[in-house]
Amino acid sequence: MKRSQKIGFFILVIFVFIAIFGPMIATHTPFAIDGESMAAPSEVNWFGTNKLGQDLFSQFVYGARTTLLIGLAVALISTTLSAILGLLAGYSSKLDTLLNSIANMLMVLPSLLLILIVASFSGGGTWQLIWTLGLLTWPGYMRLIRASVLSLKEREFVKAAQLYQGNTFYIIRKHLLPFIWPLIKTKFIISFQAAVAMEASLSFLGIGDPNVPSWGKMLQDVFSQSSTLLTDSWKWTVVPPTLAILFVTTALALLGESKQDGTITTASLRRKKSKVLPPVVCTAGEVASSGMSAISVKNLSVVYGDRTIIHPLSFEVTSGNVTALIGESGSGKTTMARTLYGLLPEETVTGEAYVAGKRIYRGEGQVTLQRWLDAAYIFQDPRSSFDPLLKIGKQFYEAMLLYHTPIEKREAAAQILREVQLDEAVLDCYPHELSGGMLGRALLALALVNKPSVLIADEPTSALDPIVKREVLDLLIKKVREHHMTLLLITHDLSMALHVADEILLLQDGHLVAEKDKQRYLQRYKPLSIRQLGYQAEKTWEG
Amino acid sequence: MLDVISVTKQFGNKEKSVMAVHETSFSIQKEEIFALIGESGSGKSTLAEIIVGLQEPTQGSIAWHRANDVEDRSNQKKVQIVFQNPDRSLNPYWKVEDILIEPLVLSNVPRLRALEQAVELLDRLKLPCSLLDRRPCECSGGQKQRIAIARALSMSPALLIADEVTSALDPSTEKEILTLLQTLKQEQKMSILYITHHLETIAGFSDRMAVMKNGRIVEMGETKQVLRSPNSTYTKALLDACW
Repeated sequence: MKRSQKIGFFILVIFVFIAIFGPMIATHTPFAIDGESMAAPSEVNWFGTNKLGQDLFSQFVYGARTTLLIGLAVALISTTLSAILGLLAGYSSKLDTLLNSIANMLMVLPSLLLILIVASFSGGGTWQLIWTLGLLTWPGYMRLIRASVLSLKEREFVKAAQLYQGNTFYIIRKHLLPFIWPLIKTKFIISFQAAVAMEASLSFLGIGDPNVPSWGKMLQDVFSQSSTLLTDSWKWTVVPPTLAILFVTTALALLGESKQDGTITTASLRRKKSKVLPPVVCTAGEVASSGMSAISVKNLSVVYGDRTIIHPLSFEVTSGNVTALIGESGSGKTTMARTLYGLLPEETVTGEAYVAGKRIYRGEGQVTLQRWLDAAYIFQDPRSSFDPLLKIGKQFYEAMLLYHTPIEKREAAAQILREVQLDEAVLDCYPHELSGGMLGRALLALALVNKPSVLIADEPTSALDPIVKREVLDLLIKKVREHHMTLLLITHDLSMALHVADEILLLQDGHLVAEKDKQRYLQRYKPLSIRQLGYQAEKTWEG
Repeated sequence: MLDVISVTKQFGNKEKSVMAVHETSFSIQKEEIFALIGESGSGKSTLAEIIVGLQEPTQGSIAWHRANDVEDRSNQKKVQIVFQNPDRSLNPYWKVEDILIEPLVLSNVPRLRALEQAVELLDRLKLPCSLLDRRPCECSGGQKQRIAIARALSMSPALLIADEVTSALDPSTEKEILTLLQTLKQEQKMSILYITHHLETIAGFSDRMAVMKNGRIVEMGETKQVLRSPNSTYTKALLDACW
């Protein structure tokens, strides 16, 4: 429980105590006219009296009973209806049409108006109010629950339970309910709060049982008299019920507050406008010929909180090389790649890392890495790497920092697209109009467009089908060789790594594996080649 | 043991329909591993769901043969499926022990006996018993997939469908699972329908194979034979894409 939830809970408990035990110690009945009119608080009348001489303390404590009873009952009815109907509508497509149309109908009806009409025609008893509120307020959350059940029932554990002959009731109770439990809790608290507020406003408007004491009714009594604010009496007639309503609704709001999710791995959003620094940009060829390492890592480690993801390690990647960084899931290879592209919060990284001679963390001015220019990063899934709402061309121009006029940009983009065997027309397409393979190529073109000297590719083909995968990968390697770039290829596909890489780095649990152990690993898990089975390839692949 | 007889599955209404599976026929023999290869959208998972009975075919039928060759259409308990992603096939709120005994409890086996069987299954899949008390998120990917396999095996199926069970796993874990499946096949005397898009892994693993494309089977035969000399251009293209 968070602190705010504790406070909310505490306040609510106080009011529950007042509602339960208050009437036991009240010396007057709420509507008995046995006191002086408008008496100030005294030993006899603790909260004073109203104009008729009724004891305000007993009205207050009996009012607490009414308010909490209505809140609780409405919340129970409304939440139960939301949950059961939502689960049924989501799970059974037969019931869905019926339940959903009822919910839609109730949602478009102006509920306040409906409540007013029902309340005034039904004489406004407490239970009538409870049922009206309970029956009218379920559709909102029912729709939410239905929506999440609709997606949950596609999960395989539900399908499996169906196969094991679990009936509808069993699946709803055992498999679906745990998932929507948080929604149900929230719904309960919210409808509790709404019911308290609604009851207060209705009885303030004079709708409701005149024989039942309630906070709203206390306020109505007071405000119907013109003398209220002329004297000091508002201090004991207006303040207690107002504060009570405020406190109860606030306490419920606090109680309903949920935990904030946020992970330490997400970098804070402090975006700076990208700008190109004057030409220190050396071309890929120069970097390659100068013979320095394209990527150099010295004693680099990454720590999230008290969890060490990457233990101090050092390596160099010779420029012009294709280096594969392999490792099993959870070995820290993606973290490594993200670190090298400067995507991690600075405080989690210690040690030094240089890419294309530029320092990644804690470097300044011209010595820092410029993304897209010095190095480019190719993400895992081409489909989710492009913004679905922007045309491909727009996304290219955004990254093209070396060109200035639109015409220059378009020409250069078309040029690079031709290099990956795509037509210029692709620039005017939205991502969904292209196939997976085309998007893979476009993503590659985007990475090449500024001719960076280093490319970091994180599982660039794992989301693609086998044939397309091979095409895109071979194209990537070909372009890297053609432009003398350095490629750091992150993958868990051993055969791919063995096929394309000049050098292989193996990560295990955040440690770089030593040469001897690495060879042993490669020997052990090297997959059988199709060629060894006697198959003669017809097509020869480039690269 | 099982005949898939010209099964067709159409999705959507008349004006706008997608043919997921098109007049597909094949049969699975007793105690064999049959591999179904195809890229995403080729209809292989739909076919699997039709065989286990999660979906009804638009046309065609699935026929089961008992030992004495009597046709029997009720497929209960005879076929079990292990899904691609263990994160979606194991309820994250449940403890591993509850997950493992779910099929047994639902077929009215007393809880204590079911638990005994669960422990035995864990042992057979080389999983530590300490897992019983954990939730799926506290297990590794390979462990989760083995739990899913154990759950399917608890019903002693005659046919186990493995729908891309290793595609979310690392190569070393993948190898372990494949070896395990082979051992289990022999121990349980069951058949396995192994669905994958990963051609390399089936060499030396499956007995026969079929290649699917756009809802049709384009090639079928002995795995060795197909891998050595494929007939269809699509299979060739697939093989060419391998290293």
